Amino acid sequence: MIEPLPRSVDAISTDEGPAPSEMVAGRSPGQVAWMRLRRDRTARISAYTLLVLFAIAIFAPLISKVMGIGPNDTFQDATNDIGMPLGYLGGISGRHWLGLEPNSAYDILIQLVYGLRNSLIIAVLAAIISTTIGVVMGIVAGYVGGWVDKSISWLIDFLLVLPFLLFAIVTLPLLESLFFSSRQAIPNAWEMGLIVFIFTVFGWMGTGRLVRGQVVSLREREFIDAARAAGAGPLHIMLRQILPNLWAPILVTFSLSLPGYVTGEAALHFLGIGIGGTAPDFGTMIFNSLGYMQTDPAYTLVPGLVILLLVLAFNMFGDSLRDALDPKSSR
Amino acid sequence: MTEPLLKVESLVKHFPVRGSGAGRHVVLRAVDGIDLTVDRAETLGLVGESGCGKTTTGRTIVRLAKPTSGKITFDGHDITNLGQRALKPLRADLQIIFQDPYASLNPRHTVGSIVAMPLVVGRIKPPGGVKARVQELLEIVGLNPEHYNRYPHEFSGGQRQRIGIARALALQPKLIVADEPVSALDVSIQAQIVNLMRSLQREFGLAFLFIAHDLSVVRHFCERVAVMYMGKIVEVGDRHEIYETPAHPYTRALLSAVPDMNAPAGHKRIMLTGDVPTPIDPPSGCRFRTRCWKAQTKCAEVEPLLAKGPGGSLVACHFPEIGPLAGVQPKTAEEVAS
Repeated sequence: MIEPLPRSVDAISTDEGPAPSEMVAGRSPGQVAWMRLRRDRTARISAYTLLVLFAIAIFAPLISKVMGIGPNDTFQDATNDIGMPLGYLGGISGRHWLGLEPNSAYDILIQLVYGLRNSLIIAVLAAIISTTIGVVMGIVAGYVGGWVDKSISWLIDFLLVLPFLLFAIVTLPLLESLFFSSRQAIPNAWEMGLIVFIFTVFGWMGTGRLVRGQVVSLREREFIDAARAAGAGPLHIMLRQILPNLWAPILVTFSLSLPGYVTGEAALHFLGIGIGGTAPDFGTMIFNSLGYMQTDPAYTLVPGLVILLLVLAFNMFGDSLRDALDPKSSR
Repeated sequence: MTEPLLKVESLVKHFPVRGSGAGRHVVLRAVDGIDLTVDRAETLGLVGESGCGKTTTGRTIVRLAKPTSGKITFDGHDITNLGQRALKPLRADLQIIFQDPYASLNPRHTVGSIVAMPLVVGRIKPPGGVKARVQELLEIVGLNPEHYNRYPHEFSGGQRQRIGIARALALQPKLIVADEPVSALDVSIQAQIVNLMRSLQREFGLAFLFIAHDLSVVRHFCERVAVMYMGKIVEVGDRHEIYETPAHPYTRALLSAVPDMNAPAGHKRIMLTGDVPTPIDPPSGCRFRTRCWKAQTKCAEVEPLLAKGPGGSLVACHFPEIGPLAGVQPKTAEEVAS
């Protein structure tokens, strides 16, 4: 990659300088990482899996329309008098590809499709917001230092020692009861927003701490001194000099935080925290299915497998991304 | 005599030392009262061994560090205690080149944006546009302007240092503090970079404060030389005074340590014994006395001040050496020509 040195002034004989087409464009570190990522088979497979899952989530209403089944449609006529779906394997048929839920008689496929959609909306929103907060806090703490750094670091430590689940069990119903009476139906969007909020409050510290550490070491590099010697202000240094060097860790923590939020969201609903919404959901499905483990195991298995696939794909992709962005870390 | 471009008076930079006893005010005396002047278009070399405060001096002069006390006057302005904002207009005239070309370029920026950074930060619109100016600068430092869109990792150490020089030149400074600009480079590349700086110095009338520990590079580049030891300047003078008739024992020891192909057989090196004392608790009187072969009781009691020495240079020593350095070479043809 390194050019021989004396390819200097003599290379251009004309006074106009090189034509734009002759400009040698180097590969940016990002392009190098992208090439590495594209060569990685694990990354490709998990990326395609994620693409398919995201497409399903995005086009959930379309799928619902094509199938002719809404997320709240029930099919009591396809269940027997104790609520078990008719037919084999939980009522699998040409109309209900993955069968029906016992008792409620919802179509499992459509429940899964919408569950995936809700789960991904929550996970992506929570990941974007918490990563943003973490990056801002980390850069400010790391660059400004002093008491600002001390207070942000203290806040990070404080939030890290709070037990998340206990806190969620206490606050979610409390916040809901503040805005809605017990007889009012809680809108799905409101409940999802609440979960995103609680994930964000408890989710930014990891990124914040990581970014702070990176900034503390970057701050001492000479190119930061060069910018200061040219009269650059703190905003220029933080945004233009430091931030571009943080994209790699930010991307990696972002993609590795997504599966955490997916399972976290399922766990909250599995435990029945913040119930109130009627939106289809993985956690609620698995919880409901526990009573039918023996009579209808497919009901438990199917949402479980989808969560497994989603989380696995996220994790594999995140790992590949880290390897591509920082090949030294694996050595 | 006209006012010098840079005037440093009794500059002091102390760093607080952590982890010392509670309540005790312990400081590391990195720079402990030095005086310097650099005239317009002059090259002053600042030499000394590692840890003697050379780099801190340079960083304090370009105000990357705040001086503990003393006074820095640059181009008629007292910049000792100016805030970063008030300093900004003067930054254009006062630039720095760093030691490590691998750390001094932002790895995520293209060469073009690295060199353009001072222009962007200073909101300067050169005639013909930023890009044309940057390509002109790249050409000035001997790089291919087509490399505008490349990234630092694609360049060798010497090329990177050229990029750093182009960045320092972007604002057309009057003084460049070069903090060991060649010590991280291969010897074969060092000469190229020093020659580049010399031609730039002549072409643009730049003044250089050239910080180095390599005496032969300084001799090649600098008209005047200051020798530092433990935060103090022990000797300062014109190049030929320092190199031919050095008066301070430390200067002699440094010079005799330079490997010399033409040294006569039996040439004796002055071997300094002992370690450099800690700058947290420097010796009383003359700081060099603990390692000096001429030290006497007076050296521990009275701190020597810079005064005209026998060789013509200013020297801070009670018992300066007299006469030419043993085994000193006559001027090389190159020096005579310059």
